[in-house]
Amino acid sequence: MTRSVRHPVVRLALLVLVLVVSTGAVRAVYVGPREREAAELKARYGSLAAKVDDLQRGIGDLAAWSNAHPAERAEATRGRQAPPARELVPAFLKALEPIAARHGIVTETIDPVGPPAEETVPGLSGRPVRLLRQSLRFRLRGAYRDIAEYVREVDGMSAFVMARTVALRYDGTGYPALQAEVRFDLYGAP
Amino acid sequence: MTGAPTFTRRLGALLGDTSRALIGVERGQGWARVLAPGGPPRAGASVREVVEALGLGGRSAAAMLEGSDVVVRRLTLPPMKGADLKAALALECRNLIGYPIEEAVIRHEVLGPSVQGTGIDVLVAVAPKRAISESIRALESAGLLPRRLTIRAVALRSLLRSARSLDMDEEVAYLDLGPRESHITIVRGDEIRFTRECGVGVASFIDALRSIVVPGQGVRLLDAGEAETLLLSHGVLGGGGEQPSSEIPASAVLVMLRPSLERLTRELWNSVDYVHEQFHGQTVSKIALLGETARVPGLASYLAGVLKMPVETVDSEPEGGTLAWGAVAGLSHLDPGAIDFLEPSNLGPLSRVAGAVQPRVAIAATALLLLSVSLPAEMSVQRERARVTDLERKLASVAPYADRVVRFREARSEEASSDAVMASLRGPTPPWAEVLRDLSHRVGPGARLTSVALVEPKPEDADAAAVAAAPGAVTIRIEGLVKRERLRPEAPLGGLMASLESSPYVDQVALVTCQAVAVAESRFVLEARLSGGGTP
Repeated sequence: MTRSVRHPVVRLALLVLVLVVSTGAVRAVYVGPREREAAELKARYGSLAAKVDDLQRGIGDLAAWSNAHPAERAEATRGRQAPPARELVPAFLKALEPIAARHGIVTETIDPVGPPAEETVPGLSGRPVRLLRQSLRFRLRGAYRDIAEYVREVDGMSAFVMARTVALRYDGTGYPALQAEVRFDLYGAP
Repeated sequence: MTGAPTFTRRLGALLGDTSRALIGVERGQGWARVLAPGGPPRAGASVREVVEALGLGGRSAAAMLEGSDVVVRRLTLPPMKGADLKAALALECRNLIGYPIEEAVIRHEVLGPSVQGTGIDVLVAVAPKRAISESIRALESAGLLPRRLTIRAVALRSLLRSARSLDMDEEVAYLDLGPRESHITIVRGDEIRFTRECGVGVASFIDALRSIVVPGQGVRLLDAGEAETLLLSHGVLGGGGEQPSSEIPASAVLVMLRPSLERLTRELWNSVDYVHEQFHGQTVSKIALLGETARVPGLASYLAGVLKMPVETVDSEPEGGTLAWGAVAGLSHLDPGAIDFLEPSNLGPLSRVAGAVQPRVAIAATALLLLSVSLPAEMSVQRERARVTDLERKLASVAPYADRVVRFREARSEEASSDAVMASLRGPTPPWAEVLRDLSHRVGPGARLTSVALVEPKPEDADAAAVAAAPGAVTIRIEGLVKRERLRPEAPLGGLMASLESSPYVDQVALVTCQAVAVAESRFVLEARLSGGGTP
């Protein structure tokens, strides 16, 4: 055995074998686990990077929003609410009163336009939203600019309310007061 | 003597029929140091005893194979290679040995073109398989690992090559004086030209003095120790100096040594003559003594006087004194590819490549390769770890804002959802507040609005109904009064219509009627289509 090992070719073959086996062993025992660890670390890095990017973008958005709305809390929601159907008209009328008072608007008549009707509209990302609509027609009197501001404030209420139609008319008395007929559509949860 | 821990490099062993020696050589940069044992091998001391005494068990050892059965010749053959050369050598060697060729192991080295230039010179060594097996067993039983088994001439050549200065043009006859026999090797530079064994050794001189004729005393019988002491004290030619107290005169010693000296001289002379003839007049320029020459004082002077050529003793130099140990020391410097009875004889190109690969180089290359395989992986892991750690640190610095960001996004999402629903509900309906504000800005001081109303399509007007039903197609009627400039309303009315046309909330402004109602005013009616372009 000792003498056969001494043959140069056998020795070379042994060296090559040792090289191959040791390379394989090093790959299996040392390099392989490290490559796996490196791959896991890369994946973790990607996940962490996405998280950090997202947070930094969020912080940037929050700061920008806060600068644009200095008087408001960034975490407070400003979305419109849909009140229950039974509270729809009373809540609207109660909210309307201070607005009309603020702009010196005289309300002459309030008439419902038809019965409450259910509507389905696409919401964000196309998701259908079911709401109950009640229309009210108001006959008002006030100056042009006051009526415009009054409509703007009603449009900006925190409920789903909008001025659907507006008609103005000067009836020849008490200028600059105009007679206005406004139809408001109110939307509540069915 | 240095202990085993520093005795690290090479180990040479001489395993002759009548002599045994063990030599360790520690090699440094350009020098070699003999470490063991300090003096000539002790009589009867086995290699195993020396190995045990020095704690060298398990070390690799190279050995020389000597004896009457081992034949070494320089042959000139026609140019040939490989199997042809081996077959030719086998034929030649049949005539050189006294036992069947099947029981012999033949090793050779091609030295180069022959002196005549018609063939090749080959150094061939033949040894019985039995002797090789015995040598291997002897080394193994001594606790050593047999690595190389060569001949004295090759060991001497390796020793010469290891010497710091070697004149390649000088032809030297080396007399390696051993305890029982001597070896004559003639080399030119490091080319082996001739080698033979000579039966005269230190023991020959000692034996000659054991029965000495002393004038006036007759024959004196001495034991081996006394004879060696006498040899050391008198030497040859009285080289050791006459001892006043000595009872035996130097002349008597010389008379007794003369036969051995003459035999040695004759052997040397014949060898020098043979080489002179074989190599076309290239002659030996000096004789170098090595081995146990210190035990025969005056030998160099005697040989120089008789042979009429320079004779020098290769003695120990401060560091390069391995020559003094003779060819045994050369075992520690054996070249790859030198004659080796332990190496198989059929070495092809692959084997030569394999033989050229040094184990240390192979190990270093392997280690380097493994390092080159594993280092990038380790670096990659370290780099990724550092990146992840950095990112974790960054994440920790922004983590306190995470809840706020989540709440902020929820609020904005709710807003967006609400806005989307509101936009769907609004449809084509314009933002009336904006429309009214825009109209008020576009009506200049020359005009005054008296009515703004939606135009309800008449049931019989199918086209108008269809237009009104289309998304964004809401038509409004605008009525008002416009000033007349020099009894004409055209300019202010045209300006009003152009201004309305440029509004983002109305387009397709059309004049329905304009009629003078007073000297300074005309009543106008316009219709325009509300567009969603201005929807905020």
